[in-house]
Amino acid sequence: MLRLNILTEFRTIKRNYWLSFITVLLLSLCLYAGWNGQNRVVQRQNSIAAAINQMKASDALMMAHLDSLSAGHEINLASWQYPSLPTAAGDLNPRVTPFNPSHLSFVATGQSDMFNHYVKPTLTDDNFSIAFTELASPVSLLLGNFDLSFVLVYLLPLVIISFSYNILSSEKEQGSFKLIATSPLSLRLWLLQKVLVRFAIIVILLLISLFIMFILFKVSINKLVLIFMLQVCLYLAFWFVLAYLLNLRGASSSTNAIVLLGCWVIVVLAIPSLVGQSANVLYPTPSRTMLINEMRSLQATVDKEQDKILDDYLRSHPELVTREADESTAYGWWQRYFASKNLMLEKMGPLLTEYDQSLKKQQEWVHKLSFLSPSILLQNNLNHISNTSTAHYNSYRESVLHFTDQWRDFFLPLVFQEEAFTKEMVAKLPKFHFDSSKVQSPILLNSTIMVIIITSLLLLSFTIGIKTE
Amino acid sequence: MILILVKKEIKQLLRTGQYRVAGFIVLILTIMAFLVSTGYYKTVQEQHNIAKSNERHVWEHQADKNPHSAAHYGTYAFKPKYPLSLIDQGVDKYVGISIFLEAHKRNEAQYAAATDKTGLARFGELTPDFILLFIMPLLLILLGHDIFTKEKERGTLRLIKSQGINPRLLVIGKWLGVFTPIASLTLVVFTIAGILLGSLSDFGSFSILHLLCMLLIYLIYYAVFTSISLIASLLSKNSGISLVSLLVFWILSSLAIPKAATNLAELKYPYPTKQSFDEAIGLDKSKGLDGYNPWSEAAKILEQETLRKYNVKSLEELPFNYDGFRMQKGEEHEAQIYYRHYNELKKVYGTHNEVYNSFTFFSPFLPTRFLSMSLARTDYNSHWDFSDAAEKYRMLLQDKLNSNFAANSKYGDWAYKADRSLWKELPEFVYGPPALSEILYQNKMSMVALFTWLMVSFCALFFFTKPI
Repeated sequence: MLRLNILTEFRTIKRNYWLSFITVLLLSLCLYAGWNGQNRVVQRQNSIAAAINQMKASDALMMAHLDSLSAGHEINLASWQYPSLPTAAGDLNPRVTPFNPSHLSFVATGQSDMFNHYVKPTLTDDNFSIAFTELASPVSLLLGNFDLSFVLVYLLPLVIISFSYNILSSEKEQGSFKLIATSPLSLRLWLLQKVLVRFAIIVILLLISLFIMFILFKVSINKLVLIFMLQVCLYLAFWFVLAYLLNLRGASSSTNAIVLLGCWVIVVLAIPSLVGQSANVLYPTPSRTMLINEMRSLQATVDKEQDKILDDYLRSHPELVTREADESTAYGWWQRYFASKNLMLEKMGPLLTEYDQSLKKQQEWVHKLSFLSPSILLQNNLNHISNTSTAHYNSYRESVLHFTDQWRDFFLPLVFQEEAFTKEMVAKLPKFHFDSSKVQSPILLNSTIMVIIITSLLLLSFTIGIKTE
Repeated sequence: MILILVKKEIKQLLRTGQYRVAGFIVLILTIMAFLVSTGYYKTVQEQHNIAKSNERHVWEHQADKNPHSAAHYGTYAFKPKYPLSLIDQGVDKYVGISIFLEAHKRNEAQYAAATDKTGLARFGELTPDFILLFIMPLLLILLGHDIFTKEKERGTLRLIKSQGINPRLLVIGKWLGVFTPIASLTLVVFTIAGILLGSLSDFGSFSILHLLCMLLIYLIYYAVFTSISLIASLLSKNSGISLVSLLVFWILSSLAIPKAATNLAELKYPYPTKQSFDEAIGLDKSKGLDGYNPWSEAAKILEQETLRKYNVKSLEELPFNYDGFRMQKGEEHEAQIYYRHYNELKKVYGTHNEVYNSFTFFSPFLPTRFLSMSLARTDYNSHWDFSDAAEKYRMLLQDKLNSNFAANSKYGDWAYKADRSLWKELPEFVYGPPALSEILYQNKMSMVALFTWLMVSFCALFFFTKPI
């Protein structure tokens, strides 16, 4: 009986225009969104490749200049740009610190349109001066991208709603409900098998569309791709369970449509915006304006104490005292500069830590409330899979800042000991490496929450009785 | 007759529980959004004032120093927040809040609020513009989707027709019946906004005309949605189909088309990366006159020209310090380079704007979005305007400092220190936003698009009334 019903249901849908419409719709949405994401990734790869090529060319020139200088030849540069000077080598030949895309980065734009994917930290840079934000049109950032995550998080639920809002109510409205009620199959099971057939159809069509897209974009199918598919299926299941619940209530098609669309507005739009706003109210983002304010006051104090600073600095770093700091030489000027900078960084340290901690609190609050909306859960998971989450960019930022410290630590002893930078030192220059796999994954937790939500809704369905009239 | 129809529709809407609840929820959300936005606005404004006066204090209380050292020490220009930003925050959270003004370099505005937030902020926040742009049209769809279908489903349409009513009058009555509650709610929202704006201490910096223009824009936007809702209801077989098709239109108009426009704009006219933009400027600067490098070719040419002009044989004989003079010439030259590169960037944004403008005819959301944030002065043009004003001030500052250095010291005298009274003599950065007429002119295409939507949706509505 059940098998027969499922077959009948499948044939009815097949004969209806819905199946072909949804097939074309899902495939075209996936391909278009995937193509958009792919374009963004290619632009990112090209910009990183160009920067690395430029760095290689600059390194080759630096080596040639160092060769000429060691042979006692003149070079066509201003004296302060001579690469033998550690300040020039550290400032004018920085390393590229790339954040390469993963093979699934095209799935979700996440934060990738806002932050840059390589910086070139120099000797004089610090954690306050390096800009990690990309040059982007704020209008584009405001309106967002038509990427795969938009299709899956926003549009897919609407396809499900339009496919399943009137399963039971249409039978009532057409007058065939009484006939179904007389069959030996329970109404609850009858409705469940109808929802399951629809769920299976959408899942199969979507997975086929995604596979076609992966093949076209030459994306290798691995464990991460399967995790991605599983996330999408869980999200689909949530919406189908919701549709099942609503159909069980036995209201009219129009009421079902209104309530389901209301759920869509609440889950996809209202809850995320409310959570965002609650974080702003309860844990306001500490003000950057006030941070600048404090930084400037500190800078003013440091500026007034210039003469004392170098003495104090050298007293606490006796290993660097090999020459007298003489203001009249370039080395002397740089020594004073780095001593002041070091003091600034030391004094700014607690302020920046306090600022980062306040930000962390706000972000933790947002994470805690993510379970309120399956859309937030899916978006977070997709961002993680794509390596475009806030956590990824925070981790990248920390890696770059750590590398900046290494870079400075390499050159500063040369500056203070008034040593020249040589060709042999090039091979010893610190190297940047960013391992995105170390970023903590929220997928398991988010998926568990999603399963709990779906199970709870299914359990709730047993408390709802079908109105037969 | 129309009045009777309107009264009947409104009475029916008010008697329907789900509409009453939806309207009430939207009103509560709007009031919440306004209260939060006002609190945020007041805090930001207070911090802005403290930072501005502190920055001036720091600048004025520098010790005696070389004017060029002061130029490097620099100052910050803080971007003001405008009262109407509490209705529409526009692109504010995606652009920086302050620009560091220093010698030799035009800096970008730093510290956009969005960069400090999690990815959740990209979903949107519960702000008044979110409700006005996204939620209100949804409420309209809810009220209007079944305005004809329910009559068809209940069979009352035949009854109405049998009374010999003019179909057009029926449509106008129903149109007003759907539009009036939303227009009244919008009026309440804008009255609350007016009262909140009136309570702000810097109320004077906005004109009530901006608020009225914004109200008009939103009323037109809702009129378009009302007409489209009625068309869908007229053409659909039942309320469910009408609702789903209207929702498809809403999602296309408010979410899908704007996003597709962004992707197309970025694909056709990509922005340069920050690094490549800075490098291109650096490359141009290295080819030209460098204020620091007296050995560069351009510097040598300037030296020869200056000696010729003042009819002297050496730089020491000049009646001013040539270092200060060259520094200023270098600044002017670099300012031109920045101007050229930033203009290129503006051109890219201009082409993006053209793409968006061409999409405004597919989405009534886009022209409303652009007009609303322009009136609130939270659009990208306002940010460019601020950035240009800051650059103009930077150049003024450099000119005053370099002139002082050139006039009061001799060539090679880098030990010269200007008296601290000089810092106070330099003017403060004052910024006034563009006038309303300029804002409207910049958005003429959006206005044309929105009026086109209004006219076309009206005409289409009356065209489709024939089958009644």
